[in-house]
Amino acid sequence: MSTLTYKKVNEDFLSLLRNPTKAWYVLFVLDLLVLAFGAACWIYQIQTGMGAAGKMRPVMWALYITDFVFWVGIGHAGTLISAVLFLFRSRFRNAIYRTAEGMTVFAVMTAGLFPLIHLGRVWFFYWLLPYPNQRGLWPNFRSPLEWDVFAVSTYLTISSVFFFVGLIPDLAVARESATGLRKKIYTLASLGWRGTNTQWKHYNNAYIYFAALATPLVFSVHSVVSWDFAMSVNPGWHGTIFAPYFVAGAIFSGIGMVITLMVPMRKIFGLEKYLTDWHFDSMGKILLFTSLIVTYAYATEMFMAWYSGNPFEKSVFWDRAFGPLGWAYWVMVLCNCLIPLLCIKKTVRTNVWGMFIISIFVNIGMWFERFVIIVQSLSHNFDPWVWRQYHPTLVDVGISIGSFAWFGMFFLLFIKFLPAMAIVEIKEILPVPRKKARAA
Amino acid sequence: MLLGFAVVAGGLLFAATSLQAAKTTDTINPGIPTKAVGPAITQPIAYSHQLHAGKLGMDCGYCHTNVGKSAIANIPNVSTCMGCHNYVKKAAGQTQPSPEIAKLTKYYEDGVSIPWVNIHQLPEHANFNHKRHVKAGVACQTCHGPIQTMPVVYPVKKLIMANCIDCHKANRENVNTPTNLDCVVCHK
Amino acid sequence: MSDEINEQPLPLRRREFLKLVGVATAAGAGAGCLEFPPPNELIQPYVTAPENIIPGVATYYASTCRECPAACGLHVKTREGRAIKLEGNPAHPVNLGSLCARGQSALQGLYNPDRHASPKQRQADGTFKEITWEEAEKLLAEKLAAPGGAIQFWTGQETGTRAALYDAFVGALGSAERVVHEPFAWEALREGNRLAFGRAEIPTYDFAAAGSVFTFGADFLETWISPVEYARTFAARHGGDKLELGRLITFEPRLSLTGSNADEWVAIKPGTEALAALAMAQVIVAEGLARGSTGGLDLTPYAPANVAEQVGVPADVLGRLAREFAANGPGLAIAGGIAAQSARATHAVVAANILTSVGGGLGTALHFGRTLDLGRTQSTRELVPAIERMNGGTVGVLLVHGTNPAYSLPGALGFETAAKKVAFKVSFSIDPDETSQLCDLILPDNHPLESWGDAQAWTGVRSLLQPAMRPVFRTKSTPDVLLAAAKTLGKAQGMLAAATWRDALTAAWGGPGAAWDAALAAGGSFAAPAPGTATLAGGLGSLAFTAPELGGDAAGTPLVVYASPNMYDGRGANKPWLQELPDPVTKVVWDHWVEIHPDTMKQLGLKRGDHVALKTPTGTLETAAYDYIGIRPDVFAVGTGQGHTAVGGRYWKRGGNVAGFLPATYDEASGALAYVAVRTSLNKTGKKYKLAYLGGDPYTGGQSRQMGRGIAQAIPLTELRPTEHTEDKRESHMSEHGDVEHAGGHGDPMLHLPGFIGSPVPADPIAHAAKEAPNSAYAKHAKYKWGMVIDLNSCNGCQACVVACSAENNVAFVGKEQVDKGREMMWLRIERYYEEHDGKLEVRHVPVMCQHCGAAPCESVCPVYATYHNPEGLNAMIYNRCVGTRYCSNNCPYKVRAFNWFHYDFPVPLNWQLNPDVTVRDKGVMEKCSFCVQRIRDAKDHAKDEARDVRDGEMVTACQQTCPARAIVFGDLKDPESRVTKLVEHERGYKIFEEINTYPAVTYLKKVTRDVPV
Repeated sequence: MSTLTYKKVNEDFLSLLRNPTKAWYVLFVLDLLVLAFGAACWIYQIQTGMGAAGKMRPVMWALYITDFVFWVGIGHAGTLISAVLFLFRSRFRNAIYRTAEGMTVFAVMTAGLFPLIHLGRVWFFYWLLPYPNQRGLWPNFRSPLEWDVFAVSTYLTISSVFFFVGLIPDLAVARESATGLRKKIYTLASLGWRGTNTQWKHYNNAYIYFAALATPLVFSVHSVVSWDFAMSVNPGWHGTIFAPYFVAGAIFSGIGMVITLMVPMRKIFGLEKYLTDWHFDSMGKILLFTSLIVTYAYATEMFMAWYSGNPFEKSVFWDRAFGPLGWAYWVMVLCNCLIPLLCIKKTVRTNVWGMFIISIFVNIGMWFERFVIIVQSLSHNFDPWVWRQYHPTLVDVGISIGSFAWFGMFFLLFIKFLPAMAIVEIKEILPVPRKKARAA
Repeated sequence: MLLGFAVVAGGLLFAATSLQAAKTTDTINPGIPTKAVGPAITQPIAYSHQLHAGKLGMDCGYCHTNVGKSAIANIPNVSTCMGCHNYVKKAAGQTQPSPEIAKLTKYYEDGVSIPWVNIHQLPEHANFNHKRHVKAGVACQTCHGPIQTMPVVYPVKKLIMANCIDCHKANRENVNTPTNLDCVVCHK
Repeated sequence: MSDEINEQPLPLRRREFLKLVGVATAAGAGAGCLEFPPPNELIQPYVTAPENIIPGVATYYASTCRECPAACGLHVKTREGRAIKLEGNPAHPVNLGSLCARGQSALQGLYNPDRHASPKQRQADGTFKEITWEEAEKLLAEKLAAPGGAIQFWTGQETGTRAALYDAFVGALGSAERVVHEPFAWEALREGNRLAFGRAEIPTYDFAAAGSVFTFGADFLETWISPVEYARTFAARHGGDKLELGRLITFEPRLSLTGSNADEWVAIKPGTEALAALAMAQVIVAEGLARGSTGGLDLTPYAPANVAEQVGVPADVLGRLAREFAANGPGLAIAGGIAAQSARATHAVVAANILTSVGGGLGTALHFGRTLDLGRTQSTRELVPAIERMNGGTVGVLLVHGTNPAYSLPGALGFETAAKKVAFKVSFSIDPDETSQLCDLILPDNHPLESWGDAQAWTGVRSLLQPAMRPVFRTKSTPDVLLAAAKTLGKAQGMLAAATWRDALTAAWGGPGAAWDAALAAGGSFAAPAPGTATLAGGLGSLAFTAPELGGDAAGTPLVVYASPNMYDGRGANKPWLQELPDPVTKVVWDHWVEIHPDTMKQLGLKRGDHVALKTPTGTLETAAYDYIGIRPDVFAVGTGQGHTAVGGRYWKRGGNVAGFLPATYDEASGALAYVAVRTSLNKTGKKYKLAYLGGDPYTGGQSRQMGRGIAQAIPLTELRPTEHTEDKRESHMSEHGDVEHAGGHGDPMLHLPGFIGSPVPADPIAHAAKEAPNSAYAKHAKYKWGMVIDLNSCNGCQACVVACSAENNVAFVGKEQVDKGREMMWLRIERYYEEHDGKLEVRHVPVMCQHCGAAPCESVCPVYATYHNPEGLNAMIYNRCVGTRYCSNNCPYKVRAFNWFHYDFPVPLNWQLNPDVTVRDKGVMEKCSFCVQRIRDAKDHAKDEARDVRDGEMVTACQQTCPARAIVFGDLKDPESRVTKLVEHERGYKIFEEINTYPAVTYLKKVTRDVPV
């Protein structure tokens, strides 16, 4: 990478921040249209009632909670890459962590919507918050849903702060070349960063502390989310394996999403120099590893159902594989267990577009995992008399798709207005500039 | 983190309120609130509680006959009013018959019910049983304020949960009339 | 609410009832917490208070149910002058406080938005115009004065003073006749009894006295004669702990609800009931077991060997059952329902009577000590001349009251065309039914709950009707209209001289006075039942018993037409509660269907819900196919009562009108309309159609099988016999090693895995250690702990409790589409499970409502404490705190929680029925059974007034109150003497899904299965 100089790096990345192209605008407008449709669906649902969505007894949770878990899961890869890998000093993160971290913040923002969307009386959502009120009533701290409130809000707070701290030096770089309003904003946001040694010293300490603070969240948040199910009595939900199983799944799906986002970026903005095979190779390894954990979890669930002899468990898992929703289960197995196995071969891991396709499958597979766990388990509960199948309505689907648009909107804004890659950290891994090089 | 603060703040606030509740000596009738918390509405007939309940010292139950028999205190039948006003046609010291009593008489003769406006409008998802409270010795004034001094009735207590449970908290251990904080007492 | 009232038509505003908002209907939880609402409501006092009405306190009026001729006694609960709940009159000998589903639904007939709201006159353009009563009565008088021909007065079956008044009126008019038409008037039964006993009456059938009951099509738990009474007396011998005796065997081609409670179902061919009965009688006589005469009939030709072929049942089965019948005497054989609606109906009744006679049931299980008086009714055949006269144009005026011939008579009789030939037609109908749509003048009668009247149930049992409230609409009591007409016509002599209908009634009851007041308070005058006898008349030898010839294409399939348990003869069809109440056996709602055996379905290439057309020579019936396991493969069955073309748009065109498409064939002997009379072809129409039904849905994974989960458990009689007690019958029924058989271990693939992948360990055993839920310490200071026991050996699945619950708790009805989506709101459902052991079909009904678990999964997961455990053991639900996460429902093993997916409407004035003591839930909140917490509060309120504790049996839930079989017991588990405490420890006791340790407060007592000895 001898051709790369600090100057070149600056130019390369600041070029991303130049005024958006027509293509970007088209993409953005399309995205907003989809988002608008999703919003319309939600408004309609609030007016007519939850019945607008396809839920019924016994399947009282469906797409919304599926999306919620899906998006929270996506978030995890970001924190893993930015915090955990940082602490482990694994250098391949430097080029990707900024995007991953942005993804985290936006994913959690998206996930945070769904607990509201799925409320029957969303206008009373604040009753879930512990605030002093004349009724003298507290929320129920025994309820896993209440834990979610804390888990998700904490996660959002920490990851956004962490995200912002990481940005400071790069914003300063951006500030130098920007003009007009942008310059003002960058100036404000970079908190008077001048890159002095003391600043760097404090900055690095702070960054490590935040990394240390964020690390446990990678494991805690999705554990809490998994307890929404594990703490219930429902066959198919009530399992001790859920927390690790969900955390692994979250990282799995998160890495998948990172790859899905990185590959097009790399292509569009010509970042091949920075996002090299080496990066994809490393991410492929994580993908493979987590995929194996998830596969193991599926196997364990089935084994326990069989070994426990509990007729409810046995029945629900039999139905999961061979019942009306069996197809969803096998889609999940295909995407999460079989296809990622390809990553065993280095040639696959280093084939960028191959990784891209695999990551798409992973995203689909992980979404179906949550769908199967939630919808199938509920539809095949204790009392055979009320077994029923769930059929999504336009509102369910509209809001789910809308959530992707919501996420996409933030991401599009992010790559245009913030340094999508950690300029300073990329410089860290460049050879120190020499006079000769500068002269040449 | 924000939530954390909220928790702490809430804790303190509750401590405060409960202390306050504990201070009062007579827990059943801790005192008569006087400050108006709602508008005084002009009624179809300018009936004065000040005159009837205050000056003439009539007992509340004389007109609100079912207050001890039913969950609803009941608004007196027009005929109940006429029981007296068949004879009483003039305000004290007046020579001319009172126009208000004339209105009343007209309602009665036309057999039309008087469209009183409801001042104490209980939220629709809550139940309040007058009988139980009256039998427990709760004075009307404890919730309705110094009604016998009101020419036009105005509310002195918001009909909100806090006002119910303050009293219900204070009397949990009350030997004669232990109260209950079970939700289904009011919400059915 | 106040605005709703003001929207009412004028007559309503004249009513001076106190209109208190909080108390009155619209207590919407959706309103949220307005801190101090702007005063926008009026509180309007009475001008002069009516006696014994205290606002906020319920007033009860004794009256009589008129939803069917049985005439059960009512206590009408009114609040602020509105009827809000019907409860049986405990003092009334017919129902002793219980009611059936149809009786409970009478309220929705009263508040039916589609009722005729005022007198109407047909205009030149065929539309109706509302007129005043003055105009209407003037018009009526004119027409009656100059009828321009004869006058026909069609009425429904009436007894007591009203019948007398009608006859007096018709008599006074001169050239007038009274025609009585009641779709199910049991003509064949009475004719059969005339032949057999010389008395054309309906005797006392004492199921409590019968050791063995053989029913030939008689659905005495649904519609036959007096279902509530029979359900009670039957349960008294067959249910509860009466284990040894009271066997019920049912002979019918299609398994009715009654059949589903039988110990054995014998699926005979339709119309062959007589032969089956005689065959068994023959065995009893031949083997010298007879305890009574055969009425001089030589039975040898009817020996099982000879008739087995026709009956479609092996001879040895008939023989076995015959011995069984003789052994468990006294035996009672009854023929009714579809058996008494064929062309050989009367013979079936005679044959059943002979069987009863030889079985020794005469004088004990069947006697004439108390007979049912149906007043003067005419068989369908007797109506033909009347219709002819109309056709002949000799009839000038047609009056119709309380019957709907245009709907309930076979189209082939051409009532409609005949009626069109009558110059002037007057309807006194309450509802806009098919007949009133033909008429020129509509003078709507008051609903029975708004009327004076009386009804004769059994001899010596006269029960009174008194208005429980003022008329909802601008209607007028028909007897008053007739009296007025008589006066204007100058015919006011005798009974017609009375000033008002009330006077006439009072006079008929011996005039005002203490006796009258006592009767009003009691709901009538009830003589004690007299013991009676019954002896078989001789001379039955002349009768020849054969199976009826069925009309229609010989290649067709016999069509069985039965009286629908919910719709009856069609009068139930305009009541949302009854439409949404699942059919007790098929569980279909809001619809009409033809029952076909699953195998036949396969052969015909049909799927459940396919739209099909049944063709007979006299018409076509379009309806939906339903695969019903409880029917002979060579028979189709349809119920009556749907397919209206009037009575309110929302009830139209649900299936077809069965009566309308039947041929006009009669039972020779009695002239009763033969409902089972024709063979039919069946073809797909190709139209897209959907049936909505609960449970057992083969396409959405739902199951009519328990899959070994022990939801509706049963125990064989043998296991209960003291000598053979097993130490612990509550050991896990789930495990492959447990008694899966009686827990119902069928259908679940995972329970029947091939051995090599079978589970190495049995299911977790049930923890018996703790009797109390682990977290129940906080409740130790509470005075009560409420609990319920449901005896599945008594419950017959009639679902009266379901309607009673909806009425008491303001449960919304949601309509077919929503039920189809699985969004029904009912707090209480009766799950119907099929069991098959060695080819025998067994049906189990189990009422499932909130189990009020001691360790409730729903409570811990609610983030806002909207549902919590109250110190008295109730799993309380606070609607206005609910934010609608629906987590509670997901975590409820019993799935008894219903969510308000939308805002559900109670169209005015149906909302007048709402119980002011119960919050009306709005969209977005969860709701469920509350153990009638408002009734508990009420009971405690009374107890406090009298400074005592609530007595055992004082607190009664709505479902328990109405249960005809007395299957439900509710009470305080902390009171060691209470019935419920004793029953909880019953040897048959179990809890559903006990092994998940939810500690339910509802205990079920296992059904007892009796294996009929050979």
